[in-house]
Amino acid sequence: MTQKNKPQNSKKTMLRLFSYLSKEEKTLPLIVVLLILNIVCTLATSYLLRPLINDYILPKKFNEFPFILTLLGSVYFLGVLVVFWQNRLLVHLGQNTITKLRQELFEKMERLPIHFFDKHKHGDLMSRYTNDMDRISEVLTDSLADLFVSILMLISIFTIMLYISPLLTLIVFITIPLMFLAVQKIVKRSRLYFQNQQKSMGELNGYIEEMIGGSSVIKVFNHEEKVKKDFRELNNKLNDESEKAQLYSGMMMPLMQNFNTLNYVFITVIGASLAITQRLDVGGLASFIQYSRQFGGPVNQLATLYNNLQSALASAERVFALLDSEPELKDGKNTISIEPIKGTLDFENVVFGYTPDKTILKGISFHVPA
Amino acid sequence: MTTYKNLLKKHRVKIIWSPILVLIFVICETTQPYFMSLIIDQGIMVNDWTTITKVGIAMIGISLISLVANLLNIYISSQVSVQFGTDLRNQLFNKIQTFSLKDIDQFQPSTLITRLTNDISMIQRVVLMLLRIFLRAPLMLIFAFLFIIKINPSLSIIVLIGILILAISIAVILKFAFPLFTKTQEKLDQLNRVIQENLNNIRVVKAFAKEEVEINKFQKSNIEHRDVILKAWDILVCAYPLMQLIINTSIIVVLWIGGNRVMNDHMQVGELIAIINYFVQILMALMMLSFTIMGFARAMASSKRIKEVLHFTPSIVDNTNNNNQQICKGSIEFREVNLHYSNEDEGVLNEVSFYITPGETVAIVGATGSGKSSLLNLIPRLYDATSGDIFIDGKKIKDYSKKALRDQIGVVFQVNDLFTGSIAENLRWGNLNASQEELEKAAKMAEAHSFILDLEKGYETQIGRGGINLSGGQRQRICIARALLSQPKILLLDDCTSAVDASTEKKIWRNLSYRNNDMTTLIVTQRIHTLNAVHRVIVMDEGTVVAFDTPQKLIKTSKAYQELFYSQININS
Repeated sequence: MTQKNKPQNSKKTMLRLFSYLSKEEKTLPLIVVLLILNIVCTLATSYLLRPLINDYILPKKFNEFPFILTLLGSVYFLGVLVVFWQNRLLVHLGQNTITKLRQELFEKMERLPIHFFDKHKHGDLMSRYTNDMDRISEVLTDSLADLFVSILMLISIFTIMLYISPLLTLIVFITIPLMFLAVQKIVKRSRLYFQNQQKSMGELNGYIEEMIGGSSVIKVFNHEEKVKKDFRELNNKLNDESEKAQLYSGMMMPLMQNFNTLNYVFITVIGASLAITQRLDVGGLASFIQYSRQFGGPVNQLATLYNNLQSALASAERVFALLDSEPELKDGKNTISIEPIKGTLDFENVVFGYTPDKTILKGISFHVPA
Repeated sequence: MTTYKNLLKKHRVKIIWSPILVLIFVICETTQPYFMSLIIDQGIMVNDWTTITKVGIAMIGISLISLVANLLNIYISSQVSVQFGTDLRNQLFNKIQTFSLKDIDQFQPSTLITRLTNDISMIQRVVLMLLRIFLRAPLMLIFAFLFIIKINPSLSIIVLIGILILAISIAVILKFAFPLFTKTQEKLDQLNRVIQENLNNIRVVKAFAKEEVEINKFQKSNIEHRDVILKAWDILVCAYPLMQLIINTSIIVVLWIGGNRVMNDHMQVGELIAIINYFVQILMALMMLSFTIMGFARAMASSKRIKEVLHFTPSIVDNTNNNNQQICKGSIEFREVNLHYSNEDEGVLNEVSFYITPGETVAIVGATGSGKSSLLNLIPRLYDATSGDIFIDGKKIKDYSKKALRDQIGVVFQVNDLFTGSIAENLRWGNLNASQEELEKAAKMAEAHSFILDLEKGYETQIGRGGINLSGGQRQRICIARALLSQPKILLLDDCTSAVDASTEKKIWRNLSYRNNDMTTLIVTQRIHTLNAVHRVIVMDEGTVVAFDTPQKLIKTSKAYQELFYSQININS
C-alpha cells in the first residue's frame, strides 16, 4: 500500500465511489428528478427576463406586468422548495454512504492478518479514517449535488444561449477551450502536490501516533528536544508540500472567474453592437448576460469541486487500497466446527515467518499428548 | 484569538496586504455591472458605438487588475494559512512534550492525536477561508449596495431590508447548528477512539476472536455519529434555500417597482438589469460567507480542543531554584508516600517508607496490582506522589530539575517502546552522542550484542514500530542496553526480563553486578531466582510495604515472601 506520486486511475476510483451511492436505490431517482427540476427553475427564472423586458417593460404593458411577475415568483418559490428537498436528501445520502464505507473499512481492518498491522504505521491507518474519510465525506455531502447540477446546468445553459444568440454563444465557446487548457496544466500540478501533501501528512501522523504512544520512554530518556526537532522536520516537509498544494489549487478558481468576467465583457460589447444593428433584442441581451453569469457559476463550482474531488479521490484511493488488501486467511473448505477438543497438539513440519523473506520457525515437528 | 495572535504576528505584512487585495478585487468586480448598464443605456439605446468600445476596454482592463489582485491574495493566503498550521502544530506538539504521564492519561492519547491532526487541519482551512473569502462577502455586499444607491436610491431601501432579513435568518440558523457541530466532533472522537483501541490491541482482538464484538461496537458509534451529523445538517440545509427565497423575493419587488419606473420613464432598462446583476453578486457573496461561517462553526470546536491543550498547566514542573543537580551517591528514600491516580480510587500506594543505600541492588516483589510499577514510576517523576516525599541523596526529588533527575536515572519498562528506525538509533536514545564502541559495550552487558550481530545489517537493522520484527526477549534486551547507555546512577528495571530465557537472564545480572557498587538498582520481578542477585528485597501487598530485608532473612521471617518463594520452587521442580 505504498503511496505513489504519480496520479493514479481516477476514473476507476470515481466509479467505485459512485457505486457506493447507487446502493441507495430508493432516493437516487428522486434526487435526479429534483435536480432536473432545480435546473429547470433556475433556467426559467433567467429566461423570463427576456419576455419581461421585451414584451412588458419596453412596450409599457402596465396591466399585464403583475401577471408575469407572479409567474416569475412562483417559479422562484418552486425552485427554493426543490433545492431544500434535494439538499436534504443529498446530505442523508452522503452521510449514509460515508457511514457505510467507514463500517466496511473497520470490518475489513478487523479481518486483516496481524502482519498487516506490523507493516503499516498505525498513524497512517488512522489517517485513513480521519483525514481521508473527512475529505470523502466533504465531497459526498457538500459538493455532490453541485457536481450534478453544474454539469447539467452547463449543458442546458449552453442550449438556451444558443437559442438566444448563436453568435454570442460562439464567443463563449472560443474562450472555453482556452480556459480548460490553462486549467488543465494547473490541475495536473495541483493533483501531484495534493498527493504529496497527503503522503507527508500520513508520515507526520504516523510519527505523532508513535511518539504520543511512547511518551513514557521519551520522558525517562529526556528525549523531548530530540523528538521536537524530528517533529519539526517532518512538519516543515508537510508545510512545503501544503503550500504548493494550496497555491495551485487556489489559483484555479480566480483564473476561471476571470475568464468568466472576460466573457462577460466580450458578450456585453459584442451583444451591444448586435443590438444596435437590430440583430438582437435588449431583453435577449439581458437574459444572455444572466446566463453567461450563471455559466460562470457552474464552471467556477466545477473548479472548486475539482480541487475537492482531487483530494477526495486521492483519499478514496487510499481507502480503497486498504479495502482491497488481502484479508486474513479464510477458514479452509473442509474445516471442522468446534467439537470438544481432546487436547493433543501436533506440529508437522511447520515453517513460519512474519515476513516472507525471513523464516523464524524452520520446519518444526512435535507431538504433545492430551 | 489571543492564543493565535503570536503565531500570526510574523505574517503581519502579508495579513495587512490580504484585505487590501480583496478590496481591490471587490471594487473591480462590482464596477462591471455598472459599466454594463452604461453600455446598454448610453450605447445600445442611443446607438453610440464609441461608448460601447470605450467602456468595453475599461471593463477588460479592470478584469485584469482583479485577476492580479486575486492571484496575489491566493499566494499570500496559502502561505500564511499553511505556515500558521505548521507553527500551531509545532507549538501543540511541544506543549504536549511538557505533559506528565498523568496529564496524557487525562487527555487520552487518542484525543491528543486527533487534536494534532484533524483539529489543526480544520483551523488551517479556516484561516485560509478567512483570508480568501471572509472579507470578500461583506465588502461585496457594501460595494454592490453603494452602486445600487448610485443607480437608484429608492430601490436601495428594498435591498437593505432584504439584506437585514437575510442576516438575521443566517444568525438564527447558525445559533441552532453550532452546538450540534460540537457534539458531532465529540462523536467523531469516540469513533476514532474505538479505531485507535483496535489498532493498538489488534493482537488481543484476534487472539480472542472478538472481531464481531468490536465490529458491533464500532457500528453503534458509527451510527450515533451519523445521526448527530444529520441532525446538524438538517438545520444547515435550510440556510441556502432560505437565502434564495429572500433574495428572490427582493428581486421580484425590485422588478415590480423598477419595472414600473422604467415604464414611466423614471429609470433606464440598463440600470434595472444592473441592479439585478448586483443581486446575483450579493447572493453569491453571501453563499460563500455562509460556507465560511459553517466551516467556522466546526473550527471553533477544534479550536476549543486545541486551546484546552495549549492552556493546560502541566502537573509536573521544575522548581525554579534547583541548584545542585548532581546525584553523587544514589541513595533513595521514600517517606510516607501515598499515590492515588484519581480522586475516586483507593490508593495505589499507602504510606510507603523505606531507605535504600547507595549502590545497593534491591528487588521489589509482590502480587500483580500491589503497586510495584507505580512505585518505580515515582522515582523519575513520571507521576508525582499524592502526598509524602521521596529523597535522592537526602534531597527531595522535586528539588532536582526533571532533566537532571532523568538523565541520571535509567528506566526499563515492563512494556517497552522501541521506535521506527535502526537498532543503533534506538540505542542512542540513551545517549545521543554514544560511539559505536559504547553502543556495543552496553549491548554486551545486556546480552544483546550477539543477536544483533546475527541480524543481517547488525546495528543498522531497521526495526518497525514497537520493535515488531524482534522477539519479546530481544526487545527487552535492547531496552536494557538503551538504559545502560545513559550510564545512570540509579537503574530502575520493571520486570524487564520476563521474556528473556533464564540462562541469559543470569548472565545479564552477572554483567550488571560488576557495576553494582556505583549504581543503585531497583528490580521489579516475578521470578524468584532473580533474588539470588540482589542485596535486599521489598515485599509489597496492596500498596504497602509488608517486609524489607535480605532474602536470607525474609525466607525465615516473612510469610508473604515464603508463599511466593515456595510457590515458584514447586512449579520449577
